[in-house]
Amino acid sequence: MSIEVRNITKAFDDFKALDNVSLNVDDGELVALLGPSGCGKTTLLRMIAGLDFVDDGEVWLNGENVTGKHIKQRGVGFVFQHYALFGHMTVFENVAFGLRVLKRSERPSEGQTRKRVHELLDLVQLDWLSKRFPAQLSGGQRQRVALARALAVEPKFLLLDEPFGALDANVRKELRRWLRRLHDELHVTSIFVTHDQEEAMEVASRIVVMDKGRIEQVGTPEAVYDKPASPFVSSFIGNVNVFHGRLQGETLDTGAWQLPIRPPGSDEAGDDTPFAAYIRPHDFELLKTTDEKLPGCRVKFIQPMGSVYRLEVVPEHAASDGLPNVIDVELPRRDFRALDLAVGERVYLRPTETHWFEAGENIAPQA
Amino acid sequence: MKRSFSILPGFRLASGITLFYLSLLVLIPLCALVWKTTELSPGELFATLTNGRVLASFRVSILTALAAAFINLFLGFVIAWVLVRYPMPMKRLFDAVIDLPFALPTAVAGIVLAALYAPDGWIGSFFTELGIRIAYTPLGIVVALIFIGLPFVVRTVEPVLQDLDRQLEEAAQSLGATPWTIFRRVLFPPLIPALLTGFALAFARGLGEYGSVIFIAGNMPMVSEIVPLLIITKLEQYDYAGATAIGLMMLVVAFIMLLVINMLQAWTRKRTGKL
Repeated sequence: MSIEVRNITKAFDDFKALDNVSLNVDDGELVALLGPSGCGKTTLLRMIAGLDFVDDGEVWLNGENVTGKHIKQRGVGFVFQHYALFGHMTVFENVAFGLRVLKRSERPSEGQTRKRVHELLDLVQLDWLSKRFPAQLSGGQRQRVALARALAVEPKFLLLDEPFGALDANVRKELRRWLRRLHDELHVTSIFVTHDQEEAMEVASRIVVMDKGRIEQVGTPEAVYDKPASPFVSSFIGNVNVFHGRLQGETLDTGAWQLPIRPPGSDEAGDDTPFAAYIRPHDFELLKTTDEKLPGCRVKFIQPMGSVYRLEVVPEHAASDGLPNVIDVELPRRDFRALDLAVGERVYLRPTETHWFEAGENIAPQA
Repeated sequence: MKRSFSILPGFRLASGITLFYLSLLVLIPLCALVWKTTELSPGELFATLTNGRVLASFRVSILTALAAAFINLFLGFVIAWVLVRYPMPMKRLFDAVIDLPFALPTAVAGIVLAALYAPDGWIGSFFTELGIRIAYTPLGIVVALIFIGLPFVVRTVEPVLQDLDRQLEEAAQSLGATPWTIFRRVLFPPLIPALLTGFALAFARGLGEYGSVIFIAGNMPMVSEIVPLLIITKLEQYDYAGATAIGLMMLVVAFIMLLVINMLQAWTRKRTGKL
């Protein structure tokens, strides 16, 4: 039950929501469409579902071209951000809806319907609420009912549009894991939309990162985090400190600072080649003293966050265009304790891992 | 005792004003009505109310008001549906036109309708050819009451329809429902309370309507004479007690019917989980 999207383009008036997007999802995968709001992820999901239609391009489900087909004929289950439960029906009737509207010849008997609905409600652990109305349920319960309702018609594909977007943090966390487990049980090919990178990392087996109507990168959570394909992906998936500079020997010269790093495989790039270094807060080593030529900083702020300590450090030299004003650093609790740092102290930074991007036009010119 | 604080200040003041106003505007006049009726002996009261002409007028008033309310229920729903759901040129204009029956002096409406639907009027002459007489029959009364009651249904249903989540339809579609099933099982049920309210308002207005009806009704005793007209007639004959007796009866009938509709509404609300 694969999903294939070929060169989809969609515009709403002047706004290009999707620009030549292609995507493959294999049988049984759980894929996240991740991106900031307005990036086209929901539009893409609705195209796959058949709730909206493409301007150009094709949608193939399970090897069949369904581009012009109605959602009814696509065998997809759809879960909405705001649940879209039928308020005048009980939980039981909501879940039974898809069975009751089947053609008479295909419709299960009342007994079979009851059995199936109770099975599904058991699956989402809500059978005890079957006689309630949606208005009497919490948000998390409503979304689970919506999921059971979508599953009732045995969809070949499950599409979820920001399924946890309207829930509060604790419920979100719980439901994420629950969705993951549910998917492991059912193996329905699923795509869900989210703007929360943590959610995408935790739930999906593959992440599709989107921005401005285009797909920026497709990969496992590990790949998009550790090997981002573009500056956008690097900064959208997790926090990042950005350094702009030019190669100078074995260093990246940011003007006031020389970072002792050089992009791998850049031997041919001569001095003065502009590069951008994206470094995650946890990819710094902090030293109190050093013999190396490492840039010096002052600790401005220390925030204990539980398992990690978040530090803000300020470069000692006058700010230059290539340097962030404040560098975010995260240290594991144990390392922080060992260093015994205090606000105002002098530290040296050594980057341990860096994402390199060739400086494009969007990067500030070097002074 | 635990005190709960409400968001709006001045609850006592507001409820005092409400009670005072309701008493002044509704309860006191109604009490006066009852009190005036006591001038009649039980025998006279019974005689007045069981008079053939009075009973006939009640029948005309209730039946025409019911018929008009039912037609308005259907028409109003269709109009509200179209106004909310379909893009239409000059939608705002149409939307404004809906409220005209509220604003127009009822007598003006009555005269216009009577002229149009009279046997030789623009519309009436067309029906005359078909052998149907509208003006000066109970049918004419129904026409006038439809005109008067239409905005009630449209205006009560419209906002509820507007608030219906588009995604409900999409969800139903994704579950394989046909358009007709979606309408019948998903979109229509949430509208029932609003439809009932609109129906009740249109019916109540129709029951008491006077101005627009008398011009088109023909006012033939036993056939097309409505209760409010009979009350006026009694008053003109200085039969104040008789008039109030009929008025009281009218009040009782209206109250019972509105009560029934309200109970129906409470029942549908409860059934849909709205408390």
